[in-house]
Amino acid sequence: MKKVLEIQNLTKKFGKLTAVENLSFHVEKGNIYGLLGPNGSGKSTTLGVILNVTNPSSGTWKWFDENPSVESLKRIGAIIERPNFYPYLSAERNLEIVAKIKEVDRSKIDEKLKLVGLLDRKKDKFSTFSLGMKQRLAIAGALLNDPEVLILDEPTNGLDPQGIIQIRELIQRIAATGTTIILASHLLDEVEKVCSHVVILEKGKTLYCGPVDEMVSNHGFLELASDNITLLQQELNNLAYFSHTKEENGLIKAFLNEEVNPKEINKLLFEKGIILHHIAKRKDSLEQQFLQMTKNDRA
Amino acid sequence: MKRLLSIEWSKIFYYKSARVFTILYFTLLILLGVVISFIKPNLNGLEFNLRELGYFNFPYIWQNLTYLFAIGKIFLGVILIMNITNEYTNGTLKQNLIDGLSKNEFLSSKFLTVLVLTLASTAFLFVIALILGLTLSSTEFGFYEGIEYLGAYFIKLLFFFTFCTFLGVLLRKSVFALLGFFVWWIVEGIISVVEVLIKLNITDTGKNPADITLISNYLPLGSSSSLIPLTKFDIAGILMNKSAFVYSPVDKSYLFTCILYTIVFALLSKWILKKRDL
Repeated sequence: MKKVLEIQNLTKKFGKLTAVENLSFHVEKGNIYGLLGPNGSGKSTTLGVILNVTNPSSGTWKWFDENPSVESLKRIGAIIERPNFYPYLSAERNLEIVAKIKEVDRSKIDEKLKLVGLLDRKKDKFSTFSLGMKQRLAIAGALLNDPEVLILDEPTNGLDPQGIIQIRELIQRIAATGTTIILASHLLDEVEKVCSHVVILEKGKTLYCGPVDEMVSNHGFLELASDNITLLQQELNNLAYFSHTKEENGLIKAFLNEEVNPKEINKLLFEKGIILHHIAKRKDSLEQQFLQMTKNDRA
Repeated sequence: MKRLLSIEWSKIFYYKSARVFTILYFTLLILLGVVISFIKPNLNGLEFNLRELGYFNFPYIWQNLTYLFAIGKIFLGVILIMNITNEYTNGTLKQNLIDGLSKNEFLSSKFLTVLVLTLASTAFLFVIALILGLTLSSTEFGFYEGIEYLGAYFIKLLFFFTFCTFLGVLLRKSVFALLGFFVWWIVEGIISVVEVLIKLNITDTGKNPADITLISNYLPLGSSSSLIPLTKFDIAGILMNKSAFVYSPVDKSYLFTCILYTIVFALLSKWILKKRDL
């Protein structure tokens, strides 16, 4: 896989505070990366450094296997924290400035405004826009140069549910075109819904970097229920497939040691005279995995 | 360079307050030119006619007008401060950098604006002074006599606008930048007063305090205002029916310090922006 971004041993100190400590990870072409971590874990600082607005204390990074330069930034589209535009200018005039900076043709402006659904508001001043519209305009600005990588920092922050859905759909539509996306967020369900890969940061360090499904090396668990819960739990404990079981709200959760087809289990239990009225295979949500991972780290 | 100017143009031209103030600035300069050519101030029954005093005569007109019109620079100075500090408060400086403008390009675009405004102001003054001089001058000197004050005016404005840009870059908020300017101005004033008092005490030579050379005149704002001083006035000249004004050439040492300070503040702005995390 081609590396789009490679960060090596990045450290950023603000006085006594170390915001990012010896951070290394890389981003491969074509994937959607979630940059996860609680508030203050160094996400925005890291993005600030690789986007040339924050000076690193030490460490290096490469865009497209090249040393960072203004030219590499012109192949990227990014929005950090909040949409930043000239409030007194119209949407169109704001994007004109972006087009001039990125040195792209101004014919792109209408194309991208249409993509984010703001074409009919292009003559209106930025200051009259709602937060959701401002955020969409920012995405239009970031997309103006048809970037190879799109960086979004908390894109749904402060939006209403409708705005969140609009942005999420937009991200998925952009991802479908093959654009690599780096999405920083502390909203785990959001990352889970759109990302294929995650980078997990805590206190300025990487905890994990890789595909979402390989994040925790477990095979998930089965949820089962029958009329006789106690008997069910006994029988399950006798099977070698499971490491342990536990009862929760009238359901048995049985944690798998190995990959197994639920059909198999159902058959085995039926032969022992247990009739299930519920069986489902589940995996930990990203949230649970994340909590587990950060807990492990503290232990 | 064309790209940077075009970016700046989009930012400033469509900014209503900047546009209004710039138009107001040039309109006021024209008005000032019209007014001074017509007014005849009446002091204690004694009528002063600027024209008859030789105010518009070459070569004095250059010093007279550059001295007077330099007041207007505050207008453009405020616009420049707003132009820089808005980039901080709107977060657009950050976004410009992310979009692929380097810190140097950003600052260059700002200094290009400074240069354009300085050139426009100087050209404007040149035209006004030329019109007034050619119509109202009553001496046989050519218009080029004393025109070095136009060069001094250019340097004075270039320094002032660079200084304003520096304050904007340093202090990030327009209120702080304006206060910063005020504080700087007062501090220079205090230093001057202290220096005068010390010199008067130590060198008790009975000299006129106005004739003492002050080191504090070479401070940034001091050298800028010393560069184009009020034209020397000679009462005897009026009585002898000659010109009331006395021509003195531009002081090269102030010209030099102004240029030096312009370079220093430009480099400091560059250094601050480079070091700063945005």
